[in-house]
Amino acid sequence: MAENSLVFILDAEMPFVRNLNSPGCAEETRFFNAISDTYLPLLRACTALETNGIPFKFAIAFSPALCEMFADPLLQERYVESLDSLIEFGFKELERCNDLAEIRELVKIRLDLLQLNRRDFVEIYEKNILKKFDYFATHGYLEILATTATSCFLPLFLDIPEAINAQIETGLLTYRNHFTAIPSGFWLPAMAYAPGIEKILRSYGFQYSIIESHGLLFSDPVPETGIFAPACCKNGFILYARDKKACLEVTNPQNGFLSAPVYLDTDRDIGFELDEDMLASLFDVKQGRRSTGFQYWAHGKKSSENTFYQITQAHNQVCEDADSFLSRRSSVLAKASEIREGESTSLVCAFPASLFGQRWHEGVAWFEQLFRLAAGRCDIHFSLPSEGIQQKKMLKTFEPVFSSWHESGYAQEVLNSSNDWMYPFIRKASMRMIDLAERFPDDTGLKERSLNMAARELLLAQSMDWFLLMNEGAESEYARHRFEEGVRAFTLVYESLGSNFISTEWLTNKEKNDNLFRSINYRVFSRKK
Amino acid sequence: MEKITFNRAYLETLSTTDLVSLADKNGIDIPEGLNRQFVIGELLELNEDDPVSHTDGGLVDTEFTNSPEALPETYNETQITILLRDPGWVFVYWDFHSSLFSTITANHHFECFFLRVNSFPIMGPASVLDFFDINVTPQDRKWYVHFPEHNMICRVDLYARNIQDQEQLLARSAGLVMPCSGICDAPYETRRKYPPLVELSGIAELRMEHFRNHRQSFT
Repeated sequence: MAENSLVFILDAEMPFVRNLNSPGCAEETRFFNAISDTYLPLLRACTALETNGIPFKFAIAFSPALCEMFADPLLQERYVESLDSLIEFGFKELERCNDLAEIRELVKIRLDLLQLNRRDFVEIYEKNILKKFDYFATHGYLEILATTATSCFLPLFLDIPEAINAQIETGLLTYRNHFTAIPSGFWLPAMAYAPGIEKILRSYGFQYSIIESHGLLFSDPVPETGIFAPACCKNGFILYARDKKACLEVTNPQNGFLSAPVYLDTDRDIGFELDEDMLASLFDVKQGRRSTGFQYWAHGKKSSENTFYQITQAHNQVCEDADSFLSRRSSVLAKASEIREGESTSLVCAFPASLFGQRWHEGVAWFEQLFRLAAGRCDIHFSLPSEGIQQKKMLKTFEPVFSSWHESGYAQEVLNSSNDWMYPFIRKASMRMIDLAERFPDDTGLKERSLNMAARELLLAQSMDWFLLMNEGAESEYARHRFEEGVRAFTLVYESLGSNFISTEWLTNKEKNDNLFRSINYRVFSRKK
Repeated sequence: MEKITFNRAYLETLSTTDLVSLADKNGIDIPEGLNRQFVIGELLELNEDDPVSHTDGGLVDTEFTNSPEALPETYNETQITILLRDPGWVFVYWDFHSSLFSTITANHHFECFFLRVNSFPIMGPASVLDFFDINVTPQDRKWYVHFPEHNMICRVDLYARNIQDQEQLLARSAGLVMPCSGICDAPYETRRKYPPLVELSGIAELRMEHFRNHRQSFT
């Protein structure tokens, strides 16, 4: 009998927000919210599924920069402190809402969740959640994909292959520090592909990656299996194509699941509504208002409607949405299987991990429900991407085309009038770094430390996070600051190596602040001989 | 006398008068009119055996970072780069060597700078099949160019033109392959038939969506 499977892939990525001397910035809070609302609930869902003996399988790509933040003792400590502040704030909020029964209930639920998060984070995961993800990977539930050191939009660096190599090699080095497996799959940031990338990935031993649907469907000739089977590039590298239509069923802001009237309106957070004084124990409003997680309203049928969030209604909707999603996929897969005369078919759904829990509060519950429902059906099951590439000889060969999962389908989001000024700097710095790696191949001591710092700052500045945030009015200043800081730090090292002078005090401070990729080796930027 | 440790970065920040004064304090006799670089050199020699000044493979510790406040406006190189934004548009940016820029713009015959957008075949001889020009001002450093050809190599050259219609090539970008494939045909054209699994994959909706968003990419 044909096997119809769904492959789920999550992209776990966030900007690097660690700042040694400025605790409590809005960007740091966003990172903490991601732990609270996405990653801890996701681990709880996996644990519950494992405990209940429900089969579940999905892939996840942790950005190495995010791994470094998860594993950073300073951020771990600050996260616990932020949970303590939120719990204390929650008790005050209970008092404030004493006369509002519906809100009081929601505050209690939030308080319970915060306390649960604190217990799980400190006592169960001992402050490092990556270990538990690694546990699930070693037990065959998860596949952790490799990816670039920072979320670099690779097609725009294709003419500087050394920059791509450096991103991949540093990413792999960090992967080895946090995870046990040897990754066979590689996550392309934003699923951004351009012809030639497959050659680089193959040279590192990766076997497959994932591209957006049109990367495969616009190829000529198009593989006749469409998006229902992975296809093979000429060099043997395998590419899955995402089922964009299925993903839009979830994410479409107009009619996707996440916009259902009964779901929590995560934009209506008291962090954006209460007076400055009332929020003072959580954050300084002057540093930017932000989400606290205390949210009481459902989307409602109209945006102007004030509807209290009803957890039971939301739960019922989650079950309904999970069921309809599975049924639709099953129906499409059955049609595909029929056309393929009984051969196995698969569909790939890939989402940003931030969708689950952050953008869509009920997302993790929906995700868990998918596995629970699938366990009771025989028409569909979940599989890992590496399981679908076993019969490589059967796969169709094709020439994929330039594509990304951004709304434009290409690079418009990372290359437009708000961020195009960044390219001359970042590309120049990339070429200078290659030059430095060539000029100083065997240097040690202070010079090596400086070169490693230059490489680290460059990798950080190459992250498309800054380019994307430049499109967001509120966060563009932060993005500009982080990008310029990275390029300036790189330039300082570059010029210091020319003049033979550097401040060890500056270097040491920089190393303490941007402490990611500790085992970085600047020689990853060398030209391949 | 107490020995003071200083380095080139610090000394470069001092005025010539202060340098001479510092040299005087350190017992260095400076003849009148001596170049400041020689004064700096003399002062640095005082440090040579100074154990406080940490050296490492030629890299010397300094207490000053001289961190640039702003990113440079120019890298002082004449070059042009193109990046692919989508199948219909490329982003072009360029820079000038300051002396070349001054020489060209100071010439009273100078008329304008312009970009020449060339198309080449991917296969076969590397001869230009077609080109068009876009005039840019001396202040411009970037441009979005619509490139109507698909399955071609796009290359953009930076030129200066003078009033006698003479053109001077200043820089040449690398060639960029412009993607083609499925999006070349407008979606309402029915001549293209797809295999059933490709239809089931949603090719029709995709082509419609791409036509809406990237109609300039459709020929």
